[in-house]
Amino acid sequence: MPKRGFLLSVSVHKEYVDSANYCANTIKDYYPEAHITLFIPQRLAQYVDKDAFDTIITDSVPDHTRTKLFALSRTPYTEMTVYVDADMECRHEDVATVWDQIDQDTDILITRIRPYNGKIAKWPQGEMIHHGGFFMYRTNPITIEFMRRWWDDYVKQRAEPWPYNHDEYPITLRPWDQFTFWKLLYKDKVPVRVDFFQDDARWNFVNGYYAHENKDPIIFYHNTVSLKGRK
Amino acid sequence: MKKTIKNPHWINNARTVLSAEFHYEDGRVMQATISDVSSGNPDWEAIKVQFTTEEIEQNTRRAIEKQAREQAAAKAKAEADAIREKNEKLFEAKLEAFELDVVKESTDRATKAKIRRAKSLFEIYAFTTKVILDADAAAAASPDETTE
Repeated sequence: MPKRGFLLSVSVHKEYVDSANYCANTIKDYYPEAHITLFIPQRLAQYVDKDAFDTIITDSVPDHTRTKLFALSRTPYTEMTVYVDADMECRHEDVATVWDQIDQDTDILITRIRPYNGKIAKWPQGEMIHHGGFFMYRTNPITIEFMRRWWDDYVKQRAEPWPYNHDEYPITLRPWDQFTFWKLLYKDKVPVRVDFFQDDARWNFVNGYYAHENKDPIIFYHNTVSLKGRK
Repeated sequence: MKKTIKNPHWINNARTVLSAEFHYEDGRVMQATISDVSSGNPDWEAIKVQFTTEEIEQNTRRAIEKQAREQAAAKAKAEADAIREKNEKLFEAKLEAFELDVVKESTDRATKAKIRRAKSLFEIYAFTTKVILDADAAAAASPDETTE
């Protein structure tokens, strides 16, 4: 097993598996040496394109809307992991330079949300600025603990009564895993160092971003088609 | 009802028509168009008294700049929306192509990569057709196991 690789996860709908197959193949098109791991519930494993993934993990993988969070702390890569949403596609060979993008002191390298292109993610006490669809992280104890808590706290966030003042933290934040990410960073102050990719739009160009967001070619394009019930 | 006039600016090159905000005491704000008429227009007169020519010109420059910014933003959004729509259609078509068993099972990685990289629906159809025709040709060339 290499020390660095890409991690994808899918759950709930077969359409997401199709998309993950597509995404992994586009990474291999531009970066054949890339090592790619998929976390997937056993029930959906029959739909996986075995040529697209190097490792397929089904053991104890929950069929949950945020299986992604379950997967992050369980990365098989001992040095660095790039998480990629299943509805993304690789479009440029610069993907191979991803490992050079992270500074020595950075634990998580991520991209910024463009508020003009999405739902409003501001509330009186804060703002979601980190895009959870594409990021790179180190396999060090503090980061893995952060990822573990991201999953644990998200599950609690969805299941337990809302613990916050509704004026300060509207309950509409509850479904957002980015809110959990925000909470861990700014409320719980977990000491991971988070930074943004240089030219971050190249690494996670979400469908609908303005063309001026990037000067150089897009490396990862983030599709926004609703896959659920596509057929 | 008493009103305060704000931000008067010219809205024609001939400098004969003004636009301004009327702020009323009850909180209402109205955007008004004002021009001078032979019988006299009290709003026109009020603006001429309350604002200098330079202030009106400065407001006009600001209004033109604001309009240009809004037009540029609307243009960028329209372009982004058009690209978004095209990309959604392409992505859906590519996923549909890969749902075909013949494409899924094909070992022709190069042509499959061309489907993934396609920039138009025509390219997707063309490369998908190639995969299908190649599979048909391969099937025709291989001996039928059911007949002697």
